[in-house]
Amino acid sequence: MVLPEILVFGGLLGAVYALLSLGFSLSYGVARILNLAHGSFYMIGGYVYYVFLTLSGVDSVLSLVLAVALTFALGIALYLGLVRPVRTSPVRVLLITLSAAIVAQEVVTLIFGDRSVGAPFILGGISSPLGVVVENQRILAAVVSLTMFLGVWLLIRMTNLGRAVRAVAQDAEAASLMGINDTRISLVTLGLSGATAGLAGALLGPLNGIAPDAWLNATVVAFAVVILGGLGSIPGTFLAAFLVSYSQVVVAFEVSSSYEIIVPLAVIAVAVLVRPKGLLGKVEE
Amino acid sequence: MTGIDEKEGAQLAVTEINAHGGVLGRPLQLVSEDTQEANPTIPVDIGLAAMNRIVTVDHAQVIIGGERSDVVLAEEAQLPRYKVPFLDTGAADVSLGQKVIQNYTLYKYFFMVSPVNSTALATGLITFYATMHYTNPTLTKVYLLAEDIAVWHALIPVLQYELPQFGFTIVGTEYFPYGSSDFSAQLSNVRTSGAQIMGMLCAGQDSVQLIQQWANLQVPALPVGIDVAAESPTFWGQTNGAAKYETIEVGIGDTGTPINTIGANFYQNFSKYYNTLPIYTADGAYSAVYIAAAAMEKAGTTNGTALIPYIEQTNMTGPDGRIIFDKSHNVVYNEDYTKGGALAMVQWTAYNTYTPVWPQSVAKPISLPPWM
Repeated sequence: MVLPEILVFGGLLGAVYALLSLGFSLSYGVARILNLAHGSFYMIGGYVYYVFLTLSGVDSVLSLVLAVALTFALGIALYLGLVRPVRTSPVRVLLITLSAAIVAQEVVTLIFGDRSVGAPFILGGISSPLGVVVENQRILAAVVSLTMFLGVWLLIRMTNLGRAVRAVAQDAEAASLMGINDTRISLVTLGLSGATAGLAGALLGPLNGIAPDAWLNATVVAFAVVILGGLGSIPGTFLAAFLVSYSQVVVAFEVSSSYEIIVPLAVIAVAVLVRPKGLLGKVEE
Repeated sequence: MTGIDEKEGAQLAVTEINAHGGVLGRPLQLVSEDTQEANPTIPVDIGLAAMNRIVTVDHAQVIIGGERSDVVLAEEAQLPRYKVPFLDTGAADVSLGQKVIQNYTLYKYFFMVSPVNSTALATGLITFYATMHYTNPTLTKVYLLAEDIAVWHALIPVLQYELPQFGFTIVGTEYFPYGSSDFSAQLSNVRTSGAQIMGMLCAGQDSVQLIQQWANLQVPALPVGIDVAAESPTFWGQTNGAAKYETIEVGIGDTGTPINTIGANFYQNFSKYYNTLPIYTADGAYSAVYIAAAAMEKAGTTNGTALIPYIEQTNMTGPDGRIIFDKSHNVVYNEDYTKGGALAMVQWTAYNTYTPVWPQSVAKPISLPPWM
């Protein structure tokens, strides 16, 4: 067994999965929006970062900030433009967000073609944690992801806004009666959802390349993590992200990388059948 | 169908033929449908739907195209229904054409114009490996890394059997999903196996990421093999220069130095019209149009079934050498390009530049990355 490789790659991947999935957990757990276009924020974040850094010559940190800001705005736009009008029907929300994801893919393909693009690394060179050679960019992506995850978690735990978000997650009607504006909370949640996924895309894009169809795998992974962790549970999302990433890495090293993509799908199936509320979920769905 | 290079190569041929009066006194017309085969998430039936439109709506009398072997295999199975010649210019699986032998009457419509089939590709690779071992005897350990697609499943066993006979040790074999974007696990396996050569087989754009990660991680194994994306002049830019040292198999006409007057004219005109250099699918499509036109002239008709014996009799020179078909309607391979389709190996050395490293008649020495 290649234990050091599994420990290192699984850990680095899990950190980014946690950030990618956090927004999905929030949008469903709080706003009750099953957003199948969640992966599109990941894809668009990667492209925005590429455009600003590579094509426009903007500084890498500023390009990251712009990618986050734009995907935050897109999350809000998605809610106001497409989701809010059909919000009372979960099926219509599913359909409209799926359509939005496919349209986004086609638009990006028209602009950039169907080949993947890749921005240069922010941090070049390689390191060898536990004797495993990895790119410094990958370590940076994991560190930034964990930092952002912690930041959002603290926002939810420690601020008035966060308290309002938790109140809506627990009981939207009661929260509304207490004067909490459900629409405002949904907007913030979708915006955060877009921003966190967009940041994940911008961080991983230079490493893995970003292509118009990247949204699909990102959505499946986020879905698997959130279902396994428990809808609306941030600690559950964190735990599940690493369970999924380590499962994938173990399969890749010990079985075959051809089966790696099956892991998140298997996780969804098993979680729904065996423990629908997830590991740390509060709501039986 | 498929591939902007195929379309452009075919269009160039159509333009040239029409400038000389067309075929049977009429201009040739090119119609195209995109099967999106380069996208790994696109299923086979998109290709079948495109084929159906080409025949039933556009009334194509000859079909030229193909890239993914699984799609072309499915399209080949439809040919008895349409009775239209299909000149494949991208897919190489040796099983393409087996139906021609098993049931000639139904499947005689299929022809593989370009590239040479996967067995021939393996032969060329093995010959190069043998030459490389002779000139660099310390390079002995090979890790085979291939996309999980039909054509490589046909080729890998050939390499696994033949390479040890030339002094190589296969230290690992791994398939990865077509369209992968993260090769951390695979490259870690290459490194820990002690491989000195990473024998890669890639038909899709995933090699862009693979090569970038290989260079970023400084994996001490020279990438050698078949990499369709790396044949494109844009590959250097796509990989931000990480392509340097990658050594790939190409048609002998695609080394950057044309082998004959036809190739020279083709390259010159293609560059003039499209502002870029062609890859093998463009050469193939260009030749395929000329093959179809010649068959129509000889047959005196555009009827698909009537064209078959004349296409079978093809004996012409294309940018990649002589084009003659065998009994399975695959283009014949020969190390001598005056006798068949021939191959070469080139190594990326600089922006827009790769250097031939085989055959011996044109070879320069292979370079190793500084970390090897």
